[in-house]
Amino acid sequence: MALLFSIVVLVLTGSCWGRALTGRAGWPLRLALYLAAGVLHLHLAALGIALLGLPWSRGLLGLALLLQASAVWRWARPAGGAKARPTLLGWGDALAVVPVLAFAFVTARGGWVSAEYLAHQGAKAHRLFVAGTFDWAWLGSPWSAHLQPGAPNLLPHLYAGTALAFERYRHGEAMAWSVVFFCAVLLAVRELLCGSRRSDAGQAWLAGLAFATSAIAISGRLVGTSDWILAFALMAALPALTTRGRRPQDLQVAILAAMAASTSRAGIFLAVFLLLGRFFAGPRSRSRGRILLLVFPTALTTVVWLGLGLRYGLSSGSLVWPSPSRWVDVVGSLTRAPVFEAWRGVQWLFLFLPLALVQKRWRIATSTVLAQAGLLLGGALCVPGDSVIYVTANASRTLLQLLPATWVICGRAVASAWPIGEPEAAGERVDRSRRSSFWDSQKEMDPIRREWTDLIGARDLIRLWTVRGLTLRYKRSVLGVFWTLLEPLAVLSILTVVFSTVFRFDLPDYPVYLLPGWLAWDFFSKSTLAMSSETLEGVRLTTHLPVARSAFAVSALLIHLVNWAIASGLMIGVLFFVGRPPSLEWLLVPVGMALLAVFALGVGLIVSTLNALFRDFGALFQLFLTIWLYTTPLIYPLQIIPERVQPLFLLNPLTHLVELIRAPIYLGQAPDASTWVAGVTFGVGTLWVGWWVFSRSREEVTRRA
Amino acid sequence: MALSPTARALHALRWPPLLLIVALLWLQVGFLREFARARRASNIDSTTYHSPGRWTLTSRPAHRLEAFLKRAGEVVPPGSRALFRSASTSQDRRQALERFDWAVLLAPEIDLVPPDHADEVVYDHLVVYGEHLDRSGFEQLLELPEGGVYRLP
Repeated sequence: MALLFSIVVLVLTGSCWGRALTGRAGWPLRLALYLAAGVLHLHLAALGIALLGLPWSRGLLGLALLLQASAVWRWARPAGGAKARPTLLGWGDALAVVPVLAFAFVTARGGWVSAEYLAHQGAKAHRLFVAGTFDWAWLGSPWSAHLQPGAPNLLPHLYAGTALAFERYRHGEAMAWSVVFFCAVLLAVRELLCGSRRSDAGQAWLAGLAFATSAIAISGRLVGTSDWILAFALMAALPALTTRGRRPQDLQVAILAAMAASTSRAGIFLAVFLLLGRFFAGPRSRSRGRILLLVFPTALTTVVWLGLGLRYGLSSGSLVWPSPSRWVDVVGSLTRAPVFEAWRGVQWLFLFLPLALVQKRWRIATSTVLAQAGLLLGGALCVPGDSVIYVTANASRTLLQLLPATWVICGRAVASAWPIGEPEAAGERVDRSRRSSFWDSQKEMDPIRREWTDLIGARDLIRLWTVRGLTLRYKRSVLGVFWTLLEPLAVLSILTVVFSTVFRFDLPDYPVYLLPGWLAWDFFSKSTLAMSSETLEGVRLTTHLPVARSAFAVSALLIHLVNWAIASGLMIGVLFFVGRPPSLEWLLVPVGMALLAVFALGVGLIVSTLNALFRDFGALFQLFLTIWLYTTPLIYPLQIIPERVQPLFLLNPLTHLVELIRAPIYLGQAPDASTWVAGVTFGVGTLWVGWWVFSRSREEVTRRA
Repeated sequence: MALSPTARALHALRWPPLLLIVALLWLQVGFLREFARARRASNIDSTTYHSPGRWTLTSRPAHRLEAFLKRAGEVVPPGSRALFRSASTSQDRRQALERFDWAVLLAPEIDLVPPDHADEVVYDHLVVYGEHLDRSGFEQLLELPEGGVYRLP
């Protein structure tokens, strides 16, 4: 009953925003948005009462809500000309009710308690209700680390406010807010997938998402957590992020961002991304009024929260105010956002990837991947292992927060590709008809895409060129393919003798350690040099024939990849001979090799471009390769390097890429997550840079050739 | 040769609806399995399920702890601070901390201190759960089968 009463009061409070907040949204989304606004009003009311130093009471809270609602009613003007879309319910809506009811049933019985509710939100809210105020002395005690006094407190306010309605705290009712926000997520999903239509595809996606999300919630025990609010904020902000409508959409994002920022520390990062996304994706206007409208709600809740923390944090405890050490403690507590928490916030960047893919904005998609990979790499290098472990440990929560948004984006793409059910709405047809439908021969194609299109068109040439290179290498040779392994074996024998007897390493099975890494290095150095020379030769051909220059680099890479594969086949025989039979982990080697090949292609493209522009660069690169060889832990283990210098070695991409190939063979185990992250980041990042440099300099290189 | 819209509609793929139905059924089955698993977990008996990290509000250990803390709250005066000590402290530190979390959630009116921080703060009461102290120096305020409450001298 207390929950129902609270929902009604909050929705009524939020409805004071009227059409100023919702624009053309249908009634399901309007309902959810009013609830969001109402929850934010409750949070502000609770913060204000605490800031004034007054105890919590029903009357005071109701008065604060009433005051806010009347102020908004007076200020907010309905958006002109925007009429709400009619909403028709379908079979998917009926089906989605099943998981909602099941979720509500088990939650009301107290069947699930999440760790976050147990040690943070629930404990905080219960104490807030019992004490009648925010007990900073209790929160600031050294053993209440889980309670996080400096974390945003929207959820404890919401739970305690609900209990205040009937002066009785019930855990079941508090946790049932998760069900309410689960419904809000579904309503936002509905708006995105179906709008005013009843398309079968949209209804199926809606019902499917309801089942999938609730199954994750059940298996991950995600009741009473902030994840539901974050998922809802993300979903409800998506329509506004993808349209250019002005004021209602700005207001939607502003309120949802404030709600996310008031919910958890990870939500602060989400709020920043939402505000930035809306600012750049919305109308062209950069007026001061628009920026103020977007930022004001988030700034207001954050400033009041900081003020409250400073006031009570500084004056409570055994230390005398304003002791400098107390300042440090309190400010530290309020602003403490450990690197791991920042990590979870960065996950929101993933959202922009499917969004950019659906809208075919390739540069945004690439930049998103690179930014995410760069941030993960930075963390992996700063805090090896821990950051990745933290992210993977929170995978179910991350999945819950991001699943609805990513699935909706994919669902829209699929629905547009496979139209099932009713046709598209008239408005969307008009938008599509506005697109240019003629081919503009004067328009210059983006050089990056042009190079890619040319490369795809040159598939046959690549195949022929690769076969030619391999034939030339092995034809009329007495030893044939054995040459590919003879050279590494000779080097291996010398190095084994030198480093096993003269300079002793404490490494068992040194040849097994050396061989995979040396073969990988052999592939890398030879393929990059070959790409440089082959591309230079190919440029002369491209002045007469319309073929992609990169085709020559790719074929050079493929030739050396085949050589490596042959050498690896022989290497397996050698390893078998020395008592190292193949294991399942060896299946990871081709994946590592693929990443090394991607990295080599990126380096090869950069080198071949620079070599074409400055002829001395080829010789310089050979010298550089020699230095690179000895600064990569190939013939020596990384552990013999002094610890303070090791981070510099970790900046070397080949350290990680070689480890991806060597670890499954030498250690018989999969490389750790941070090595994978670094390998993917360096590989994809270098290829992107290489491709960009190579395609951008196309005209200049052809002219100089 | 380009097909007319009618011909395109006739040649349209028929399998997307089938795929959607299959995916939906698969998701429903997965959901029902998770639901059944969660129902089983919420009905676990204390004798077979010891870890407080897996307790739910309906499980018997949580009910027992709540009832004990309710009685303890009646004898610990407001404003005083009590050390919470549970039976498994010496056996499993993690279980003791999880039990402490449950105690804080269920009895917020008592200012509880975990045993880890016993040396750092001043406390005047001792709430012992799952064992009984045999110390003459403490005044016993409450004696129950589950534990007791003591006042420190």
